[in-house]
Parts: sequence; C-alpha cells; structure tokens
Amino acid sequence: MEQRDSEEPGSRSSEDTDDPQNMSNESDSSEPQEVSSREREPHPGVMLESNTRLNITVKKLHVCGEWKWLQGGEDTCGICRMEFESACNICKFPGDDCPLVVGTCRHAFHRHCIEKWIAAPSNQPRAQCPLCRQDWQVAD
Amino acid sequence: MSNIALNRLQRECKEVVTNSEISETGIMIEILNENLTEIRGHIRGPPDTPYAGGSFDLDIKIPDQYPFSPPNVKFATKIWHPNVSSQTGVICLDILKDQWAASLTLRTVLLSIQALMCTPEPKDPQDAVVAKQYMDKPQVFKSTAEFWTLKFAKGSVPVNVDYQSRVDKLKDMGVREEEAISVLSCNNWDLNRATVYIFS
Repeated sequence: MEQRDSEEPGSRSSEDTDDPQNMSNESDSSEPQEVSSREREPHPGVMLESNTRLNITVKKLHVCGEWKWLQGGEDTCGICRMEFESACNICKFPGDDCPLVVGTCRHAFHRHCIEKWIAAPSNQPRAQCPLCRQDWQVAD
Repeated sequence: MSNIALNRLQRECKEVVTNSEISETGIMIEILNENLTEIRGHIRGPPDTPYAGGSFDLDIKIPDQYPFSPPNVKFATKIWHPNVSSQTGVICLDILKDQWAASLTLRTVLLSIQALMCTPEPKDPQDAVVAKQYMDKPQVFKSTAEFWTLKFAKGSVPVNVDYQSRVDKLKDMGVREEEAISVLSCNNWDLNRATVYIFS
C-alpha cells in the first residue's frame, strides 16, 4: 500500500486514478527504497515527474509483502483446517520449520500435521493419506 | 484437551454453524461444555426412510488425540436400526473405528451417520435382533422403525394403532412403556412371547 501526499489536497482522487502510471515511474527510478531506508529521518519527500499540472511529492510509503507455499494452491490443510500459510496448530509461527509436505497422491499438509497422523495408532501398520486413503508416501 | 484439538474444533463448530447447507441436510451441533469435549449432535431423519420426520440426538465425546483419533459418537435418541444398538445407541460405522481419517470432521461424521440411516448394512450389524428382522421381515422392520421414530424421535407418521394397543396391554401389566416397546420389537410384536420374556 502506498500513500501519497499532494500539495493540492483537493485533487487526491485524481491522483489515485493515476496510480499505475506513478508506480511505474517509481520503480524505474528506484526511489522508493531510498525513501523507506531513510524513513526515520525527516525527509523532504520525493517529487514525482508528472505530465499534468499536479506536483506530487511522496513523503511516506508503506511496503507490504506476501508469501505463499508454491505447492499448496488456495487450499487449507486437511488435518488442522488452517490455511497452508498459517501456522499449524502445533507451531506458533508458520515457516520453514513446518513446510508443506506433498504426498505421491498430490495432497499437501503441514509437516507437523501429517507426521502426527502417520504416527497415530489407528493408522498402523501402513499410513494412508487422510484425504484419499492411498498409501502415504512423500513425493520427491 | 490438546491445543490442536481445541483449535480445530472451534473451526469445525463455526463451519457447521455457518454452513447454509445445514438447513437443507438437517444436521446441527450444540456445544455442551466450554472446552468442547462434549458436543450434542442433531440429525433430521432422512425422507423416504422409516426415520423421516424424526429428530435424532447424538452424544459426541471428543478424545484428547482428536483429530488423530475418531470422536466417540452414539445415539442418545432410541432408534431401531441394524447398525445401532437398540439398547445403548452405540453405532457400528467403519469411519468411527479403523477407517477414521484426520480429514474427517463432525460435519462429515454426522452426514455419514445420516447416510447410514438411509442404507443399513445388515451384514455388519451392531444389533443382531434388529438385523435379523430387517432381513427376514422387512415390513415388520419398517413399521417397527417408524413406531420408534414416532415414540422416541418426535416423528410425524401416524401411530400404528395395532402396535400401540399391544404396548398398552403390557403397560397395563405394569411394564414401563420403553421396555414394552423394546421387548415387543425384539419379538416381532408377538404379545405372548413378549409377555413370557418379561415375566419368566
């Protein structure tokens, strides 16, 4: 998300519609990084080039990131019912400690969830995928 | 209860409560205690079965290892069905035993039980007497199951006057209604055999 301040407050809405253009300008000049690295110091702001009569100065900028497991798709873990990107019920935080594990049947689960299921007494001697009941084997 | 069980149950309860399909399928759950170890399930008797119109309650107990172990589910409402004990309500259903999978939920369990009400499995019975009647005397089974639905599950089929009069005769002899129904059902509604069974 980005916020821009203008010298003409009344014309904000027209700025917003200009967004795509402005964004490409920013990435070309790689100015946003400079702005964020100096965020703590008072910064005069960065003037954007403009073909219109608006003079736009970027004073503040919030950068948001998003991550996703590549294998999971939009689904949730069939065992804990949480989104793949949220922590399983054992973990406090999601991440590399508890990655997705995909079986040969292409079903994916949180690592901790499927490990617990494989170890469950009702699932012996041979573990099955909780979704399709095929023999569980981790895909390469 | 472990954290994992509690977390998942909370999501499941939300799922059942918010799922609009529930009003169509007729399954519902009710939470009995705060830590979600005891839950009351409701199943509406499926149409075109002897259970149609009935409202069946189930006791659900959640084990500590849930969802890695199945929930413990039994009928709290008395039901006449080959795969349910007519005495205790215990259910014979593979997914509640060795065919449990961690991906199953309260919702899918209740839907499976509802499906079992539509298609009994007399070859794998929980109640041998009921199963035998189901196979040998399907008409008697049907009317008995309907009678039980009416008596115990607030069913809407008109009362079987013939059955009711035999129950009343046993009641006149001082037998509790529930026991009278049960013993008559187990004896294919033969009043003499039921009387002998109770008083000998």
